[in-house]
Amino acid sequence: MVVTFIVPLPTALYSLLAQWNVFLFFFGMMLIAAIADLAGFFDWAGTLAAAASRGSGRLLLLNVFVVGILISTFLSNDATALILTPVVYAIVTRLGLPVLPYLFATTFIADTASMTLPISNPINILMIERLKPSLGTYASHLLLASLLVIVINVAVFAFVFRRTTARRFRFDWRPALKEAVPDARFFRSTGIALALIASLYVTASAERWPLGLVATAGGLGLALIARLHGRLAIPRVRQHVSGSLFLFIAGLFILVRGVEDTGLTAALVGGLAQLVHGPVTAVVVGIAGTTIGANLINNVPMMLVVLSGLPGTHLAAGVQQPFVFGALVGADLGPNLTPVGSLSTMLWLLIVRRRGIDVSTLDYLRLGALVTPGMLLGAAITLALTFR
Amino acid sequence: MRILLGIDGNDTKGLLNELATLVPLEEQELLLAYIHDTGARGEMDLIRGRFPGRPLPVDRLDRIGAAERARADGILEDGERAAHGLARTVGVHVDAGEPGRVLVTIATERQVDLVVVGARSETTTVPAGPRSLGHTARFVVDHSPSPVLLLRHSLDASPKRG
Repeated sequence: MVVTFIVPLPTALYSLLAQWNVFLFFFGMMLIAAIADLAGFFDWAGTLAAAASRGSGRLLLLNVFVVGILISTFLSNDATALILTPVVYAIVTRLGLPVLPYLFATTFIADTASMTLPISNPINILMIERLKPSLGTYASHLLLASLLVIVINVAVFAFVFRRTTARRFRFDWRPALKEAVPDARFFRSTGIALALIASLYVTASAERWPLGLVATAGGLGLALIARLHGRLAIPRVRQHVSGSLFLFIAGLFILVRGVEDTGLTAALVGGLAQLVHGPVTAVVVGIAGTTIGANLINNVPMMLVVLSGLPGTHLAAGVQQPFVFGALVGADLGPNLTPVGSLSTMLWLLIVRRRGIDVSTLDYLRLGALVTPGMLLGAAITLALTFR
Repeated sequence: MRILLGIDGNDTKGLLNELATLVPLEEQELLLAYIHDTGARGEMDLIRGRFPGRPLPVDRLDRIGAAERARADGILEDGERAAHGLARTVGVHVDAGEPGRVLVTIATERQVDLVVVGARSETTTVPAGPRSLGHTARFVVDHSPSPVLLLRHSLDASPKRG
């Protein structure tokens, strides 16, 4: 876009600078998760879930959900999907339990619990940057929907995997907890700091402070704690804080800006807007549009397209908010429908198949088809009721 | 006779007992094979692929590898213990991949005379019918170069205590 002058360089740079809060949020979120992982927080949480299950595979599934919900809500869906998932994989493998139910539980709940707070999903930050709703407005529309979809997700899983998880296991949790936490003092300091960051997130959302600043300050504070305890391992932190993610997001911003200038995003959102005849249809169209889009081009670019095209459409003031909240629900929950939410993932799937690794995509598709429509419907009804 | 028995850690003793009632094992060579299913690992990578740019850190991969080895060791130790004295010789084999495919490969390479697998890896008995075969058993039945003995695995309906 920049090389072909579709988006002039100054415009591209301005577009990126205007998104400083989003970039800072991504950076802070990854840094927080990295230091928490260094302190053994995720291993500790997974081990605690296993310990509290008292040898019951079914109870472990519920406890994995509880841990996933808390981590997604306060540390983002990214932390659950990327860090908690491999932790849970290792724990259930060691316990001799079937891996897939627990693996699916963490990956599904990462998205399902990502509407709870504005900081639970970076996509929420994109929406908040544009619409700037108060925490009260956000919660009044999404909290109940969020709780409902979590209940649906857990209930469907408990039913579907009732046989597979009906196993007992032996778990010597004391040495496992000790092994999970390499430095007890560092772990305690990190735990206190994480609680502080979580409360700061809520305060910042309520006061409409830039969440990127809070995340980055929190991440740097945690890094300082790690440094003071002599535990700051830069190579390990760098494995979590991905430079290519920033390039990906920056590229998306510029790409969407270029497409926006052609009027394509406005036309797309305008096409959706024509189907809107009131707050209820606005919610439904918003959810359906981004759910389909998230499963075609990935949820981050889809939400960017919606937010970019919004100013060019003629949605009435009374339906704009229901439409955007609906779009957010679709972008947050929609990816649970299929594992192939983007072109890059589909390419990845082909590559691993060539390597001889068999991915049970059909299992995921079946589960997604079973749980996601119910969640989307429940969220649509609950959200629509808040706009009546 | 060389017998290959696929085990997955789900009631190996029950499988062995059921096998022993059907085939006199005293004069046979028994090979217990545990195949670590890499499908779940691929599944995890697939999900992580949605979030660009961050491969699994090396230390995390090490922990996962250690967990997989510990599981395989535990299952094979239990299997060896349960099979002790049942057959003339008891050998163990550990591998990774899609269990059905790997079992068929082992059967071909080791020229076994009989492949034995459980119908499904379930904690409860699945009645005979269209869904009574799991994908591993289905693959082995379809592709094994040797005769296949399918164990219907008469497990208790109640969850087992480990």
